[in-house]
Amino acid sequence: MGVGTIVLIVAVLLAAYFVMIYNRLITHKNRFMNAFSQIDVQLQRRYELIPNLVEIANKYVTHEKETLTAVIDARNTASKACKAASANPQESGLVGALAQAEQTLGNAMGKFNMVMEDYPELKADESLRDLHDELTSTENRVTYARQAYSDAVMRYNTDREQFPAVVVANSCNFREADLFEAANEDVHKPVKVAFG
Amino acid sequence: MDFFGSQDTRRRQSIVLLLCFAVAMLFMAAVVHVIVVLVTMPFSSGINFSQPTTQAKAFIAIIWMACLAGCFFRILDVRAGGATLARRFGGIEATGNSRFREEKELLDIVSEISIASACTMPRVFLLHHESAINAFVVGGFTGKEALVISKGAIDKLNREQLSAVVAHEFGHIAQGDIPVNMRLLIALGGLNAIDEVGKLLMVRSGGELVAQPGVVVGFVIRLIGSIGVFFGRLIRSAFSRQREYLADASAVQFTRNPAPLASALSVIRDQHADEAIHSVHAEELTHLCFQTGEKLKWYDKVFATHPPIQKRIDAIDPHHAVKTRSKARVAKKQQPNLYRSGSGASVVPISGGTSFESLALSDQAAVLLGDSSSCLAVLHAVFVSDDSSKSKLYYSAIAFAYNKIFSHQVRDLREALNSELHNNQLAIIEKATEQLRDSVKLDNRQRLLKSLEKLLLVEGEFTLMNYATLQLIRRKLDAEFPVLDQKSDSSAGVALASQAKSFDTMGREFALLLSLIVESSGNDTKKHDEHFANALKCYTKEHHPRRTSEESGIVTELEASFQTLYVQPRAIREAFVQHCLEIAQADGHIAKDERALLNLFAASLNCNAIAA
Repeated sequence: MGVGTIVLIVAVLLAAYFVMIYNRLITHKNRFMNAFSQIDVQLQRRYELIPNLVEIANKYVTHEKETLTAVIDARNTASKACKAASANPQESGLVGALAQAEQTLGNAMGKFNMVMEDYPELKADESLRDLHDELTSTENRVTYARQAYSDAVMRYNTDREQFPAVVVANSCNFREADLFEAANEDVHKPVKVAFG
Repeated sequence: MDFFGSQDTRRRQSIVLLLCFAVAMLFMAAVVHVIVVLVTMPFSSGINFSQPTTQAKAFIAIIWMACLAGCFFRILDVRAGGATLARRFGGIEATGNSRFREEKELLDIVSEISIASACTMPRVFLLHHESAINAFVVGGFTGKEALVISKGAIDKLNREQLSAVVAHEFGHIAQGDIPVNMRLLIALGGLNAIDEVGKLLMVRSGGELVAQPGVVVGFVIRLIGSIGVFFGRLIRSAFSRQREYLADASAVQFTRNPAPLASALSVIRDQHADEAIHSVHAEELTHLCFQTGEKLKWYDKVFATHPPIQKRIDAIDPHHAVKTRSKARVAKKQQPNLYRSGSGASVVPISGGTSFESLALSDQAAVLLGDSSSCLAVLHAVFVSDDSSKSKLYYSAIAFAYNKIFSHQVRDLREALNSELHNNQLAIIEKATEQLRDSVKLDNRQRLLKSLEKLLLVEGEFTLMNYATLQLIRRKLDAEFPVLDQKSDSSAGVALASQAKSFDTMGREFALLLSLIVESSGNDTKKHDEHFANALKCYTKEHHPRRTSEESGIVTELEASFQTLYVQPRAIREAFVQHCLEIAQADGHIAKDERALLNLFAASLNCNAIAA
């Protein structure tokens, strides 16, 4: 057996190893992309539910109409950000922007729920209650989907950064994935509550 | 709970167990070979393991054919997929358009968790006739899982707990347990079939145990089969137990909240023992279920497919019991109206749960207890019985032990402070012991306690209240603890202090203490029984009768119980005393007797932080 044969065998083995790592990275990448699309699906569902909810509330609410418009505005912004991010989840910054828009929407919904407390007849509305139940469940799903996404991203990033894989990852342009977190520092500050 | 780390270790252990199973199968093959060659020895010229005779070959073939056939039928079962299996076990599919709100909620939960676990949503089946809390997943080889949940789980668990149970089942799916479980089931089916063939041969050849060739062959086959089944079950059980921990860890990963899972398990622990799953297929299902009934015998423990509930709860959240209790306490503290003082004379109003008021002495008492000798006398006066014949005996015993003058002093004090001794005993003891602690040396205080003890024994046996008061005085005087003479060995079955018993085995001790505290809380016997049963459930699975303080020998037994409980970890003791306090407070006030008992418990179990 000549030196050439040995070199050939080693080369083939190395190539096989390379392909194996590459495939594993692809699997992990697809998993976290899929997890992201789950968030996307649930967010879209939520964006569909919110206008219905606001419409029913509109019949009852007499003052503080601006809360309702705030909800709708926040919903529209978030919906746009979601579309942009889902088109290209690996683009860092887009996911961050979406997370921020979500934060604003969450705050608007919080205010909306407080307004709802003032209208007992609104709370008693049967169809609104069903919608509200569904929205709660959808919000749970969003949370769980984000969590699953974080887990998938963590697995992918860990795999990507470990030794032999990091060579493959860098040469084949596997970028580090973003966690679903707000990019802006503001949201990490404690929320101020003012009683007027 | 560190769920990622926990999952890693559990997975490694599971691989080891699967290897064990493979090794056991190889071992089985070897055993079959050796036994068959030995049995067929009479038909061959000698023992030759490498080249068995034709008969031996046929024999081995029969055994392996039986095994393969058994496997084949199981495979057909599993092939049919989860939904078919679920229906066979009595499940009815839950659909979104049901009129039951709970069913809709269950489907919501399942779809939420399927998102969290990144699994596809399985079909959901309900066991409408099961009142026990249980859930399991059945499935084929690839996908097609079906989640089966009992009606009891939906009725008895809240949304979060139900999510946790569902997440546990998804843990099994996500960890790939379902195909493994099904394969183990198939392998066991094969081993079972060997046994079945043996049985069949024995019956066919006539029941008598004559040395017919059929009976002998059947017997040998059954022997081989039962050895296989034994090892198979052993390994399956150990394997399944590991997977349960793994699924628990995954459930925590999916919900990011260990508390509901722990509390769901504790709900199952507290449900009645007879509420195990009743399906005809129960035996086949045990290793799939969320949790099986608790078993006590050692061989059941070896074959148990699930770890004990308490161990699972400890693995999920080691401080679950303490947390729940302290949460309940905080909730109670927020409703101070509950503890408005009653109007009865013997009622001691309390505020904020543990601090007591009204410890002030009247002026008359303060003046009378000015010097040491009257303090000494008042400590004797505390024990004077209301029964006149008993009190006469007591006085004469004092006169005999000390002198007539002292006896008169005790009597005078008793008459002067009659009402205070009844209503404000604690304050008097406090005042007297404080004075004596400063003015009397330690050995003399010990001697005083000894003589008090002897005096009390004149009236016969200790009553519970006398014992409690004596222990209180002992504590206040900084005298040494248990002084009661060694009588505990006379009563059989009482635990020795030197033995540190495990938590589960102390049901008897807990039962004794709980029944005393329950009894002191009021006069209604029926309520006592109910309270007692509820409280005891928190500590043990066993059933113990409620005791009463009138039983003879109760004090010695109590002393022994204290010694047993005293060596337990501090957290357990404190939780127990806290629990007693909660029981005492349940009716809104703490009566004198209750308070004395609580003090006794707290002091004897060394939980001074809780003691008033």
